[in-house]
Amino acid sequence: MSEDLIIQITGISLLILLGIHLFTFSSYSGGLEENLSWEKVKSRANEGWNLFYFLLLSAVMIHSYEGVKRVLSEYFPGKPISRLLIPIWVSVYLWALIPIMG
Amino acid sequence: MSQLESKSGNRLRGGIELSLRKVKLERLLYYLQRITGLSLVIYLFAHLVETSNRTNPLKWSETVSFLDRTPFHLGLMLLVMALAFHGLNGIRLILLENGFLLPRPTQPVYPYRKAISSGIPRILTIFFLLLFSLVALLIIKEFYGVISCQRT
Repeated sequence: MSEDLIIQITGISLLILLGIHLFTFSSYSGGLEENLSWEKVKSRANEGWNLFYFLLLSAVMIHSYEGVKRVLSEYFPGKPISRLLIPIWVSVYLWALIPIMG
Repeated sequence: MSQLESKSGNRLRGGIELSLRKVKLERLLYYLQRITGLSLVIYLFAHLVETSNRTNPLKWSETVSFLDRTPFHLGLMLLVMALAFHGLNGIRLILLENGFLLPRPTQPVYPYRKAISSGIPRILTIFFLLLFSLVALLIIKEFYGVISCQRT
């Protein structure tokens, strides 16, 4: 799959997933303060939102990796940008997965 | 991000075309797409650190009370606007990059016209800007509510 297609597919997925994510915390669904309370955060974890956050995190990490790689490879052509970025992105992704899976 | 714009960007970089007076609308949107994208990546890492505290109730309430301040809310409002801009402009770029709404290719006849900054692509850009303005107003309204209700 080409890099352009990956960035486009994850971009469209992110529009939907982030739209849902932002709507969850908006005034239309109770407001920021109420939705950030510990009880709400805990209940969301038990209501199957973990799958949603897993998909959101995966899409956002892939999209951001491809985006940053594209910008850096334009400014530093020929340099092995992926070799530098992949360990950072994979570490952050795995670390961020812990609270979602936990 | 559009390859069309990206390629011409490389050609123009460092040239006199980058003086503020001569920056074209599409070029400006191209730079803003990059700036918002990189800002969102920086925020993403901060957001992941912040939300990693959600496994511990004490740490979580400390984090939420720390972030419940006007400067953070204003910063978040700007980031949500950046997100809206990046997403909506991304749709515009996907449409153009895949050749939708672009005119049929013609022979290059002087004076040359850029397909991307005239006709339907320009209408798409204006439509995108109007839509973004509307979304930005909704975001301001939403955060005005948050800031006016916040604890002191």
